[in-house]
Amino acid sequence: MWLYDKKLQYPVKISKPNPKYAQIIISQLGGPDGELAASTRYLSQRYSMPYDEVVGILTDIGTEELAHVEMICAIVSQLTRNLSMEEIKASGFDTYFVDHTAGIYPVSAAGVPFDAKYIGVKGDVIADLTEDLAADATTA
Amino acid sequence: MKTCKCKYLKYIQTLSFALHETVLYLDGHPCDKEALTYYHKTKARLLEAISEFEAKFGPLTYKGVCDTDVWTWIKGPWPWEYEANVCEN
Repeated sequence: MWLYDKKLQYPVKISKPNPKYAQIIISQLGGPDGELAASTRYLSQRYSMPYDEVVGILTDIGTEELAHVEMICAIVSQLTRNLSMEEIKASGFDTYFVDHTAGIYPVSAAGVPFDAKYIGVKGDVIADLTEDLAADATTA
Repeated sequence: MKTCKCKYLKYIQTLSFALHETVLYLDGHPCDKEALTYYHKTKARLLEAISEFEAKFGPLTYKGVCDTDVWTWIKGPWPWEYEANVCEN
């Protein structure tokens, strides 16, 4: 069970929209090392984890990653607000816009939709923690 | 106390972050008394700040709705909107 907190984990205030940046930053949402992969990875690994300490950490970090998902969505949303058709075309954002308009859809910077292949869940404590190190320990 | 909504919110965000990171540490170190004391101290400050904020500016969770005339939970701006992250004045 989760309860929504009506606040971002950290403020996002982008005064100047920039769809080009949005197209790069969206990878942190739906790309191979994005926040959606991180939250799904941790929250899915909990069920076979044999130690309470680790179950607790996976639960609480997985929850925090959901807050990161929301911050990245806020960044992309604010970077793409109030755009004219000219700005959309000139920035190259048109290739995203044609399918998703101003909606936030989890894709990588190259436009590849989010894929569960990005995460590993093996039901083995060493395998799963090693996957977590590879995925998150170097990029935060 | 802070009168501006976004400054007050930043205060709550700061305390929430401190509490959450303490929770992560405690998950791995459940017998650390010093960390547990810090947890209780920070939690008390956060809960006090949240109830003051909600009375003044509206709910942070649906359990924090104070108004009895109208359902204020759905009132924007929502957290991801620019307007929710800047001060009005």
